[in-house]
Formats: sequence, structure tokens, C-alpha cells
Amino acid sequence: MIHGASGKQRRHWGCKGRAVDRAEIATGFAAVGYIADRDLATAIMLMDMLGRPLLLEGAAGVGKTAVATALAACHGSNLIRLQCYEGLDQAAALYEWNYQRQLLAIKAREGRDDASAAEIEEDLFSERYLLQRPLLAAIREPTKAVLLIDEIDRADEEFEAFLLEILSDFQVSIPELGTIKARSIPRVILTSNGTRELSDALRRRCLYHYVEFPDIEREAAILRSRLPALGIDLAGQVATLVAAIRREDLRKTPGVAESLDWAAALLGLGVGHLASDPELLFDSLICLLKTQEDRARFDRTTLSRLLAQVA
Amino acid sequence: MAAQARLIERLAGFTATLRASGFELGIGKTEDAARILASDLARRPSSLRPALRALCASNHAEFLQFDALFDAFFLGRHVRQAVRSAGNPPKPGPRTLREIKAGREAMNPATAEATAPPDALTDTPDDQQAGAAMQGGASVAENLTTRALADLTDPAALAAAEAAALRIRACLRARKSRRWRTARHPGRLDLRRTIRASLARGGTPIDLHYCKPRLRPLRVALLIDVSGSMTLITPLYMRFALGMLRGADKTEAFLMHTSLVSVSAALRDPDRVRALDRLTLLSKGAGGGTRLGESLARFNRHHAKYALAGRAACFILSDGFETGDIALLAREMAALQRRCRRLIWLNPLAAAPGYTPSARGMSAALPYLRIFAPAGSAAALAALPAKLARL
Repeated sequence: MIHGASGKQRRHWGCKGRAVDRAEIATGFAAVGYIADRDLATAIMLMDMLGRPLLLEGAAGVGKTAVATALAACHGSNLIRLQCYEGLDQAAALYEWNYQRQLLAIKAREGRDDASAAEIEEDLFSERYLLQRPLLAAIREPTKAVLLIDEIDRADEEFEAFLLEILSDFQVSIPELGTIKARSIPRVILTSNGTRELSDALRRRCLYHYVEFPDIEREAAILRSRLPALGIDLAGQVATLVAAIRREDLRKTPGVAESLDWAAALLGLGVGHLASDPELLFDSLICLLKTQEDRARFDRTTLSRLLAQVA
Repeated sequence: MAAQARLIERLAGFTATLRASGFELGIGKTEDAARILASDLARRPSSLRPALRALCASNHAEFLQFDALFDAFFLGRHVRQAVRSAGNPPKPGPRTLREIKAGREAMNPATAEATAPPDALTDTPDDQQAGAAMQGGASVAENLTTRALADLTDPAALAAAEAAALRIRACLRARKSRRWRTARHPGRLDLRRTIRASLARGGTPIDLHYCKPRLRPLRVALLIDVSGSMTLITPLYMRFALGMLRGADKTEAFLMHTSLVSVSAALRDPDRVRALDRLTLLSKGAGGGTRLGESLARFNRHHAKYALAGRAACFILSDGFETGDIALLAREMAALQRRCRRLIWLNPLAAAPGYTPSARGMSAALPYLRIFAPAGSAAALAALPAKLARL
């Protein structure tokens, strides 16, 4: 449909498409278990409308990666994930030739001159011997995929520059095969934890959203949607207590995944009310506090002080 | 529809406002902003604001700043309220002579221009007066610091401090790491890559790949105390920071007063006048009391992770007078030392004859320091490279 769409055409395409309402996105996300706030829903909507990638920043564990998972589930499309790390290069991100297979093919044909050299070469550098890596796979999907480029701040600056080129053209030149154009423009989500400052060029190209820790009501809703067995009271108490713990001066602030773990643990331990068994509650805090320093700082008196505020 | 057409007409003004506040908006983003304004999202401010924010902001600071700029520009009425609540409330009744004098000084264009809100936000004439009234509430002490920071543009007195910083930068050289990176020019052969590349040639190493040691620059964090007791030396230290940051990656500078602000971006601004403006806005609390412990705690919690990652040195420029909790200061110094062993404290008073580090904060911090050096003048700063040679 959008074969060979250049940057300009892509933008117009976004405009012609059916404008999805923010509320629709929020309900769609809720159906797949992600409770999005209005601002995030707006940003997701703009992604489709303007055809720009979305850069998500925020503290570790606020659910940045989960946005991409939810987006893919919401549209029923494939999620293609590129996890960045130091030293990530084009061969691991884009494509590579399957050299072993090519050599095998050459060996197997030796002595049989049923094809000319040019034909053999053409065959060796055909699609069969191409190893697709996430970036190439994403643009060759027949339907719009969700491309998650996770922790882009861990990749080298050189890779970032290379990524910029892919994200603006959505086409890849392979010398032996020619230019491969996108079958569909993927929805691109980039996440960053801020270990390195990203280049301005990359930021300029993206939409930006800063993911905050959810407020108490939203966190309770998240807990309830992921753990339907959790009672409404307990969900509220857990969310309130976790919010209070986040305000404490901790080395590592517990994220949403941790509060989900903790709620599941409480459910498994059969806790019906947080104040019912403080000793058990204190022991179960290993789900939330993950450094020795935090464990030492967060003693029983701190817990009982916070519990008094909650229950 | 007519309302939307008017909105789009005002878009150019809004993007100019955003650019004046440091947002980087290219033609592409402006075009997209126009499309948002033409869509259904523009019906209500509550839907337009997050949409434009997602588009225009490109980092967390801009993300936080955007709402205020948006409200000021499009919902003009909120401006004055915002300005008043930000400054001191106007005092009822007659003002004292001193206050009037302070107000007049504040209206002096040299200082008022730097501290007034961006003028694109105000389009009615009486807003100017509102700004002046806000200045009237400012104390004389604050004005003095503004003027002290303004000396940053005076080239003659401070060039020596900057030159000293450049020399220090040069002696904090990068280390060769034990890792290798690819090199373009012949040198050590990268066997792994060469063999990998030879696969495509049937096992004959025709394409040679080279490598060289990766360089790891020393990260540097500067924590500059700009409290009341440091007022006189502050311009010198700001210029020193400018020298440390100039042309050097992986260097961050922070101001410590009652809170902690990052000034790296402002100092790196290539336009010196604009750098001064940004700095003046950032140093709003300068000249007050010092809470070194709290500032360090903030630094340890939010900034140390990136500013002191890996091989790093941390410079603290302070006289060590602490008005907050000493135990907190000691605890945070210990935490800082755990992260970064190269802790250097530059004290402006230490050069005075008969000086002993007896200030409460200074004596608490002393056990954690690698180097404690006097830095009361440009000459003292110039003598530093010799002391830092072994870092």
C-alpha cells in the first residue's frame, strides 16, 4: 500500500488514515492490561497521526517497555524488539549474510557445472542467504509492526546516527541485493533510561513522553487489571503504601513491576489486610527493596509509620 | 473553524516563544504542530496541551517547562497569576526607602532584562508593571549576586581562571582501556573481525580489519557552592567551570545553594550573552544559605549515576560553611566517596595564613577527600595542575 513511501508521503498517509480517538486508545490499552493516562494516549495517537517515532523516558520500572507490548497487543501486530547494548552494530541490528550456508552451497555445487558463474553468484546473494535482524524484519513486515528499540542510551553514538538514517528513510541498501523498501512503516517506540545523553538530532525527530510513576488510583487499577483476584481494598492499600515507599529516600525506587510482584506475593501469602500481620508484611518487602542499603534503612519502625498512614 | 484559523496564525509566535526558551523546533515539527492545530485536538486546551507537548518537548526539562509556556501563551490570563505566585506577594501599605531603592535597582535594564519572564508571554502593557512589582519584592542580597554573576562577561579579570581550567582539563587525560575499538588506519590487527570477514572470501584473509585501544576520558563533575558566603568568589568559579566544560564531553557542573541545579547546558551555550541569561535564571536562589548535605544528597540520588559513571573525578568548590545537618553531610560525602574516589575539595579560604579546616561542614567532609587545596584566586587555580597530576 505504501511501497516506497518517502518521508513526505508517509506524513500524508498518516493524515488520511482514520483518526483514532484518545479515549479509544486508552480503552484499547486497558483491554490488554495497560492503564494509560491521557497524556500518553495523546502521544500514542500522535504517533499514528504524524508518523513519528515516540521516545519514552522515565525512571527504571515505570513501564516504558510495557507501552510497546501493549501497543502491539492493541493493534494485534507483531512486536519486534531490538535490545541495545554497547557495541551493537549494523550486522546485529540490520542484516547479515549467512556465510556458512553460502560456503556449503558453493562446496555442494563444486564439480557440477550446470549453472554459469553469474547465476551461482546471483543465487548465493539471494534472499535465502540473508539473515534478517530486527530493523530489517520490522520494515519487511506485511502489516504495520511495532518496533521497540529498547534502552537506546546503551548503544554507541555511531549506532544512534545510523538509526536516524533508517528511521527517516525506512529503506535499506544491501549492495548485493539493491535497495529494500519498506512494505509497511512500523510504529517505532524508543526507550531510554538516561545513562547517556541522547543526541539532539534523534530527539528532534521523535515525539517525547516522560513516563512518571502512576498515581495511587492508576496504580491500583493496574494491580487490579493484572491480578483480578486482588480485592479492591487491598489493591488500594498496596498502591498507597508503594507510593509512600517511593517518597522515602531509597537508593532504588520500586517500579510498577515490583509492586505487581509484591501484590502477587501478598495474594499468595493470603494477606487480606495490610495491617493484619506486620511481621509477614515486613518479610515480604524483599519484593520491593532490592539493595542491602535500602533494606537496612527501611526498618520495622519506618514500615509501621507508613502503615499507620495507609490503614 | 474561525477559532482554529486564528490559532494557526498564532503558531509562529508560539514557536518563537518556545525557541526563546531553548526548545529546538525545526520546520518539520512546526509543520506537524500546524497539523495538530488543524485537527480535532485543538478544540480544547486540555487535549491540545499534551499533544503539542509530546511534539515540541524533547527532554524531561522541556517536558516539565512546556505547560507553563503553553498556558502563558494561549490562555494569556494565567500569566500574571503565575508571575505573582512565583515572586514575593506585593506588600500592602507604604514601602520603606530601602525597598524603593531596591525596586529601582531591579528596574535597571541590565539586571531586569535577565530576570524578567520572556517578553513574548506578555502582550498587554500593564504586564511590564507586574514584572516590575515582582522585582520590587526582591531583596538587595539577591541583586548583588545577580551583579556578581554578571561579571562573567568581563573578559579581562577572569580569563586566567578559564586558562587554568583548560590546563587542568589537559592533565586529566584519558586512559587507554583494555578494550579495543575498530580503527580505520593500519595498526594492530583485529583477528576476530579479519577472520569473520575472511569467511566471505572463502577463508582467505583479504579484508584486513584493525583495532586500537578504546580511550576512556575521565568524567568530571563540578559542584559549585554559590551561597552568600561565596558571593565574592562566585564569578571566578563560574568562569573556571566554563573552562572545564568548554570542549570537553562528560563534564557536568552544578550549583549548590539551598537546592541543586544543573548548569552544564547553560554553560555550554555557544552564545555567551544567552549563557549568562540562562545562568541568571537558574541561579535564582543564589546568595542564600548553604545546605551542602541536602545538595549532595540530591546529587547522589539523581545525578551521580550518570555524572560519575566509571572513571570520574568530582570537584567540590565550597568554603564548607554548612547551615544544615552535619550528620547528613558526612553521610552523603561517604556515599559520594563510594562512587567516586577522586574527590577534590577546592576551598577559597584555605590559602589564608593560619587557616585550619575547622568550619563544621569542612571538618566533616575532610576524611573523605583525596585532595584538599586552596583556590581563593586565579593564581591559586593556576597552581592546581601540579597537584592534580597524579589523579
